[in-house]
Amino acid sequence: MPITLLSLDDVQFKVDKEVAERSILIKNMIEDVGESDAPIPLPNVSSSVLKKVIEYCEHHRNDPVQTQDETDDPRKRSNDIEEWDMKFMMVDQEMLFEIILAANYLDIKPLLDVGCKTVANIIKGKTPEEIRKVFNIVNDFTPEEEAQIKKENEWAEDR
Amino acid sequence: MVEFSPFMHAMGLGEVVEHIAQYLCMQDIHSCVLVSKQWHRQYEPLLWRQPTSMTDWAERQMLILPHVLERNARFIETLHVGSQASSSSSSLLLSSLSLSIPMSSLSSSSSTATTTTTTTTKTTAVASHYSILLEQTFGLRELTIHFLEAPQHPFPLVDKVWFIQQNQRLKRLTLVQGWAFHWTLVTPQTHRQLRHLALHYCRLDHEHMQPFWALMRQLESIELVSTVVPVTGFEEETRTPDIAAATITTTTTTTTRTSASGHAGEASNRRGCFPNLRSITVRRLPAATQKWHLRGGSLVEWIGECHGLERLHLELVLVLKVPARRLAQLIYEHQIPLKSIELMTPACHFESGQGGGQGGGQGGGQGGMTEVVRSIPPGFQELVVKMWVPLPSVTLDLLRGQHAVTMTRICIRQAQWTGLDGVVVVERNQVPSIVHQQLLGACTNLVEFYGQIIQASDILRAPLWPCARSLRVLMVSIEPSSPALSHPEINHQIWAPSTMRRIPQPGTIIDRSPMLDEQERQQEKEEEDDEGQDQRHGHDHDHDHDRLNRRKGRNRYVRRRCHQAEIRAELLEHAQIFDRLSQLQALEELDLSVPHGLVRRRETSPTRGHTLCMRFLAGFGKLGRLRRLRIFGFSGVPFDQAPAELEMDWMAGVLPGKAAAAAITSKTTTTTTTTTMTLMAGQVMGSRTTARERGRHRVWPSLEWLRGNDRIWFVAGGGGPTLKTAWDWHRNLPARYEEAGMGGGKKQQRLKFTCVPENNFESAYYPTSGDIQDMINGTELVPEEY
Repeated sequence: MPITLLSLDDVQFKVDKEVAERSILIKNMIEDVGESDAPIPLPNVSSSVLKKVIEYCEHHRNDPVQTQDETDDPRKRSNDIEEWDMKFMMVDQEMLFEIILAANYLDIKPLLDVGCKTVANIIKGKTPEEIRKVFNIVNDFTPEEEAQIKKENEWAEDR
Repeated sequence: MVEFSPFMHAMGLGEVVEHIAQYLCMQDIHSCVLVSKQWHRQYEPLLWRQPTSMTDWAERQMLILPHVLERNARFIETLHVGSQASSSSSSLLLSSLSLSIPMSSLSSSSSTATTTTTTTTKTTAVASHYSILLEQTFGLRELTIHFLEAPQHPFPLVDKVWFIQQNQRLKRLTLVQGWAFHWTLVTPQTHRQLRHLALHYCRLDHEHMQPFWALMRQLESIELVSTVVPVTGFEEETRTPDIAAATITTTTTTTTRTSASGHAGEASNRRGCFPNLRSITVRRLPAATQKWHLRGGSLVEWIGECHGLERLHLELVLVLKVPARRLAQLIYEHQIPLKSIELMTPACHFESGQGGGQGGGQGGGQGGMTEVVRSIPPGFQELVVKMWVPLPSVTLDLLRGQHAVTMTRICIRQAQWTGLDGVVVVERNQVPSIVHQQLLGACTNLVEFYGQIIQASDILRAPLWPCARSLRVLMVSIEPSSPALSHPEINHQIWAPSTMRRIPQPGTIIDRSPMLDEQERQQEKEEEDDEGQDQRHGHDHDHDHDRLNRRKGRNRYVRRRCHQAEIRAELLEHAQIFDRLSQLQALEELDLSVPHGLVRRRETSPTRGHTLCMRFLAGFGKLGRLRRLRIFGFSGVPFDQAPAELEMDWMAGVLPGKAAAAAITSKTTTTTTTTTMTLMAGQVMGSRTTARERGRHRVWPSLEWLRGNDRIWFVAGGGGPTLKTAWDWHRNLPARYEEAGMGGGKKQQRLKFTCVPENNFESAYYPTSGDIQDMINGTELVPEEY
């Protein structure tokens, strides 16, 4: 039975239950409320982003449900993104962060993983100045503050 | 009014920032800290989660300002506290332990009057850090603590004990040389979240056991490294009302399968004494303490009480006799859901208990492995056997039959293979090629496969392995299969000299035998003609001499052409193998050994050797995920003689991306010539030395450059760096563990070791030559009683 999702801008999307349940949030809502024809409102997700998210969920509809990491490895690899996912994530920065926010809100861990890996790959190997440039961040440190922060964190500097 | 962009919104969420940070290394997080005030607030705590995981921590910690540590100590989650000063074997395993100062510097400061100011400053700084940590650190999740210190060490034993006691959120605790540790300090009541415990070089006395077993009930994994644990009476100490009905079966090992199945249902109702334990690792128990050891029988009974056990790792359990049949019985009775077994223990210590089992082996222990594998319920995923573990053919048949779909990792290294006839082959690399091929052909979801020698023909005859889409790590030796060239399906083709210059194309195998026949027939015919002419014209000495020379020349010519054709056939086979391997799309790591050499030395010019290797390896360029490639056996390709650009091109063209960890090592040793090539991350270090020139023209990488690699692999001795060079690297690089000894010719002393930067810590232990000798001599140990 298809599920109707209602985006922030009142656009309705009909998707299979199996696809919609890739989102733990929606899955829990369906379990709590029971199946009904009423659309599920997603007030934090715009239609353009929801469309992308649904595209992702449809492509990964048959993937096994990701369990909690057993390894407890604090450092994870970010270079193992699948080819399709990599192409899927080739979007502008605004959309990338919209997808991350949507994945976080809808509790779609694999999508959140891919999004965060993409951002991590952007950050990797860059200097603070380069990071500012990429994300268009203003350096709000005063020169004194910056010197102080640098000194405080000298121990962790790249050598 | 400031409009919040999705970027600002996302980066304002702590969970998203944390999620991103888990894919970043410390240096990247450090860069993030310096971006802006908001990023500084968010990323600084993350920087402090595992400060001691950084390389060069011993020097780095001196740069930490006390007020910064004080501000951030509460964010520290993982900490290693210990000493790096010990020349014992423990220091190999635990070298570079952090937040420590070398004991030597302490002793020098106290024993000599000429104490340098630097040393004093360092000691004071570390002492100051310790006091802050003691006061401020309450949120540790992981702690590794080394108890053995110099008496004047700023973090004395009593503080360490208190430190453990106050950090009650610990999830993982590693105690090293904790002889004096009192177990009432870590109890289920005080450390409710403790799930993983590792004891390295510790000893538990009987009086410690009660709190230890009580703690064990909440643990998910336990690791005992050279640790003495008297496993006696744990049944009584851990018995609680809810499992009181449960009795620990200590029936004889002769229980039949039928009777065991009768108990299965009853046994499944109880959860065992240690229901949460998922992983047991026991490594290298000290042989000298037999009175106190964890005896094999007790160990097995202990395993039998862990009904949720998924991972069992026994390594060099020297003084144990692990009764495999009893182990199998317990696994079957309790349906222990084992997913992974890793064994590195000699055959004499892993015994069936009945002197030969159903696996077809004869003598102690040959059936044990089969019984264990047979008893494991569905879902078995990993089998790792190393160092003369008895591995009967039936065991691998069982793997293919029962667990073909679920197996993800098979590692067979120096296993003691026994065929159906029960003949024990004690030499290395003797598991038959066809068995490897059968495993690869049957297990559909293999991710990691470490094998021994596979005949090229076995690979080429079979279709592409079904695990081709899932296989990520592959390590095999490919042996050229000259005898297989007479296979009926092989194309017959006679080689003309002009075709010799062509580079062989994959897809055809050329047989030299028809050419040989043709040449021989032609030669015979000519000889007959010559003889006929001689008879007609009479005997002439000069003519006879000419004829002899002609014949010699002809024979040489034929031999040379035959030989060349043989080489071409071999090259073609290699091309096909490389073509086949390049179809493994998921491959991330490839260790390939070509024992007889990829290209024979004398017949191949440097440029042609390069061309061929480039061609062979070009296929790997298609493998987008390949990040580590190691190939042995490029014998005869004197890379150092080729133009540098070509080498760089070769590397750039073959390996995708930066391939930072890629290392290709080529070595072959003959009586006169040694050719060595080491390629890492696009750089080439080559050397070609003859016996006379040995020691000249060697170009080795600088330490600075080596430090920049994620993973470095060296082979010293033979054609590799000299032992002295290798040790020098080893001392100066942040090596975590080493692999020493292990073979080599009579005249060569070889040393293998892996240098892994600290943040890639793998607490692996590899046997030293002394251990191997111990194992060889281990057959005389006291028989196990349980």
